[in-house]
Amino acid sequence: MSLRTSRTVVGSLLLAVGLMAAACAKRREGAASPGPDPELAKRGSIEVTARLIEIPEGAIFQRELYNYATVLKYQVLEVHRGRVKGQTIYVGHYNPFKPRSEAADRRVQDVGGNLKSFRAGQVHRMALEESMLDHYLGGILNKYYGQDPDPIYWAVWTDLVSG
Amino acid sequence: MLSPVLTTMLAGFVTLLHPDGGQDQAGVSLGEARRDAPAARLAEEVRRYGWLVFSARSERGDWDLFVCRPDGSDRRNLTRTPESNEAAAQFSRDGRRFLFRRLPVGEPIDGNHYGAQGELMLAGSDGSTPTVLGQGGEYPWASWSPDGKQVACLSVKGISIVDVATRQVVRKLPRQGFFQQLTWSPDGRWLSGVSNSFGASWSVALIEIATGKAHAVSGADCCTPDWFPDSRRLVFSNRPAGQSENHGNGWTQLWMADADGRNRRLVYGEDGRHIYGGQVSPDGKYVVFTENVQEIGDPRHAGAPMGLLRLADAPIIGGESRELRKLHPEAKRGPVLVLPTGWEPCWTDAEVFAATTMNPGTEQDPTSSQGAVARQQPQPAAAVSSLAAELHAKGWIAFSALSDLGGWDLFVMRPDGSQRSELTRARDCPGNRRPRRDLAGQRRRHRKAGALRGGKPAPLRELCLARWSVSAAHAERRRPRPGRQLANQHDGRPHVRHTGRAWYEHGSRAEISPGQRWSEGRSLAGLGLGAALDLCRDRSPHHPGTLIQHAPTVLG
Repeated sequence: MSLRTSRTVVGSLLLAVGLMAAACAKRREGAASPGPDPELAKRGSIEVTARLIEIPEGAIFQRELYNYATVLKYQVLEVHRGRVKGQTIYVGHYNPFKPRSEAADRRVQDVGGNLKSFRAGQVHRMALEESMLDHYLGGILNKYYGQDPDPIYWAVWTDLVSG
Repeated sequence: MLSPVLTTMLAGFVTLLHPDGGQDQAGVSLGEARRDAPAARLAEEVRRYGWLVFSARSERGDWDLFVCRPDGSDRRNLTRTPESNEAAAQFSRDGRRFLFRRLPVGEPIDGNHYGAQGELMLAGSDGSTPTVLGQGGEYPWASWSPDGKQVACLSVKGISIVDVATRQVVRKLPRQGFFQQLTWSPDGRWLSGVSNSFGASWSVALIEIATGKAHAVSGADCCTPDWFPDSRRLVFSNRPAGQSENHGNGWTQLWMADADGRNRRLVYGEDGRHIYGGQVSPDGKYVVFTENVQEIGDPRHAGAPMGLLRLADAPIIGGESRELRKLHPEAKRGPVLVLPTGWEPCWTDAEVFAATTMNPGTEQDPTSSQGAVARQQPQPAAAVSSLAAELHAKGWIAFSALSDLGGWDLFVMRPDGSQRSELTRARDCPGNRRPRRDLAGQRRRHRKAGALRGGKPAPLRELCLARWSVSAAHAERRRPRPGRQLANQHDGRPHVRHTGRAWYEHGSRAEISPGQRWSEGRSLAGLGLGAALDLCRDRSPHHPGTLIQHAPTVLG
């Protein structure tokens, strides 16, 4: 093998190795990209990704002396765990005017998430319990009263996906 | 009888308060109410009708349980526990016992959740023998059965009927969306409470115990229900929608309705006040409530004045409340009694205390952490009552005291502590103005400008009187001096209080005239508290340890 040929082979090998390394790096990067919040998997009996359809007027307000939960309406995009009834679900959130990371208190301890504030159109990934009344004893603001939302799920963890 | 001088001064104060000669164009605001003739009659009507128990801030800042007569007189601290807060007291229907919640002093009372906080305590209606019925958080929202043998409790899992003696659950019911303020009806058939199941927000509703069926009494934004004695009607707080006041949030009012939700009508409302905690009297003729500026009963602050009215006079609207008056043109303007600052009152017609006097070991020992109960000693009730009767008609005492608004105001009362009335709402009447009054009560002198000289009435700011009291327990160590009565707590005679000198803050000094008599253990005047009395105690070498700090507005 001539010197020129050797250099070509070595160069090709190095290029191949470089390409392989780049491909591995991409795979590693893909593997290291943030997956679902692990808190979602270990909380609640249901896990969904859903779009917040609307926020009714007056459904979220800030009055420091009141603790309450509000009922919001979602369009289900994907069910990751458990089962939900229908494509539209109603979910109760505790003290919705607070960031999820600050919502828990002495009275309602098991709520959280990375969502900072609610806006219509956002996509949320949530860990839920099936019946809000089985998990929460307090005032509920339900602007959908009369439309018989059943069941009303209880959000124990709410992360922002997009929006 | 009031001296001419004092009468003139009082007239001057009234004029200053009401330049139009006292003719109210609007109803009297509960923040500014005073005892005019109709209110005074109402006070006399209710004064002997049982007792109210309520939570209020002690002078140390923690929440204690207090009682007072329904006219606000004879206020006394039942618990005096600096290491804990007490709240949510409720007498049993027979008035022999009461339940309350006791929290560590570092845990603030949560206006949303107070019925489930802390331990559930059971005590005699005079505060004696407090015992723990349930540990922290147990028996939430406990409500007495009519016979006092059971309590109904409300948790996320449902309603439980618990036997008090055995602590056994004897019955369970689905909670039907109920989440707070459970109250058992006097006839034993119903539970009232606040529920999420009957409207877009919280509603007052009933559950029939026999069937578990529930229905609403009133729709959204309602709370704190209580029963009439006939179990056919309820009072409750209601915030009607569509109010423009309070930045569009509106004000909570007191309403009543039949148990089936019909005949809903206003009882009391006032723009500027949220009315909560309505409690109907045992005979169904009166209602007591709290009037809060802040929502949720002001538990983060000092509470708010309580009010009392005659239901036959309802509806009543306080203050200007223009919008409200347009909606209820038939509403009267009073009378409404303004009672001591408190929260969540409960009314019994039982005679919890036989005599209108303090027992030793209650207000006299503020350092005790065991509460008044354990150290209460029997009083010679008949003797003290006769002393009070002897004093009652002997003129009036005017004095400064801390008002429910946090400022110093001028009060008058009978020498036995009754008929206490607030004359002013001037917040800056200083406690260091030193009045003097001779035995005949004919003259009053005041330090500094505006003093009453030549019979001219003093400006509000300058008219102050401060008093103090001395424990009879220490009086026996002193030799009697001419013209002064010395206490003797062992001879069975009515106790009298030694009078003496005290230093006030800022170094002024005053002296009470000798020969005045006081009931044992009782202060008959509002006192300068806190720094003033502490200073008195420290700087009174002639009477070491004899000056006793008293809770504010202790007298009726």
